[in-house]
Amino acid sequence: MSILEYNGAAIIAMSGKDCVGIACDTRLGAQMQTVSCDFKKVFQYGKTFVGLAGLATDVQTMNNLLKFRMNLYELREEREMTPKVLSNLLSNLLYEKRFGPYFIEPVVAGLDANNKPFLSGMDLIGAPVYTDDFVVSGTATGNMLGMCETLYKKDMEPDELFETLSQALLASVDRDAMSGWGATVHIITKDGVTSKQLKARMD
Amino acid sequence: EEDEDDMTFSERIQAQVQTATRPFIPFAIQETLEEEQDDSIDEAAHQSDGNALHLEPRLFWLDEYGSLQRIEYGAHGMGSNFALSILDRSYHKDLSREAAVELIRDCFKQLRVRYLINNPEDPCIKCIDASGCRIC
Repeated sequence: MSILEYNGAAIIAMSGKDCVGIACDTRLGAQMQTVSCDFKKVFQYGKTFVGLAGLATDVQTMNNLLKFRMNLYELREEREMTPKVLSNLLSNLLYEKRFGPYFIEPVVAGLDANNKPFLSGMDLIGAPVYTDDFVVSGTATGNMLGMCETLYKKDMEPDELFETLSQALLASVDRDAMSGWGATVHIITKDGVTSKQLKARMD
Repeated sequence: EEDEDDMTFSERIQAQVQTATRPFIPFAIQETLEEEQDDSIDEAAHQSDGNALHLEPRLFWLDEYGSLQRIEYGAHGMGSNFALSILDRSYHKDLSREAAVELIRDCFKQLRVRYLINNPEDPCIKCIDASGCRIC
């Protein structure tokens, strides 16, 4: 089993009309054994959200690292970090460890200065991809890509985006042994963030 | 060799915890006991007085890669699946101390029935509460 699949994860980020959503499962496992059902993998830095899939210890370490760097940036620059800058920073942090990488595959979602959605994903050494529809990461990427491709529509309103994101995630993790056991969805609009816990199959 | 690793690691953690908490814990407990006039554990844990120490139990799971997660109950090691099954069935939030100790004994009983590697001796169970750590 790959080290990226040791703890299990599933993350989807999707864009809508002047809004963006990001969802994750909440399972923490040690290979086949489940340890906890409230291990969240999506973290907020200002108005940007980062979902971290992969080895749990690196998820926690990278969360602390990003928080630290974000705070330093805000102290020096006296302004908030935009999603694009955060994505670039993350990419740099990962490539610094090119020959001994962090075992995470992150997803960045946020609203830029004009409240337009920003999405990016990257691999464990920081190679970024910028899309305008959806990005997925984790142990069920095949399932998630299929669900997103089927259910996604351009310019969905926040309510519809929530439904689409939830259904895509739930259906994907239900067919994956390593992810699931609870799910959280965050919808980000210019007015704020709505976060909801989904009622998911606990198996 | 593995034993040595265990010993060095646990001794190091012991030393670090003692250094970090030495000034804090005895003073806090002393303060609590003095105010309360009654050194029963439950009283100390449930005080809502601003000055007093509000102590709640916390359990964390830590794996060999350094992942940290707060849990209500858990198990490590080769027979962990059997222990977890027993805990999944019988654990609930309002277990008394005696019931909790009995539940841990049940886990080891199950290992003796179902698992290849088991020790006929009684398990060593320790309880941590507001007045410290002792063997139950």
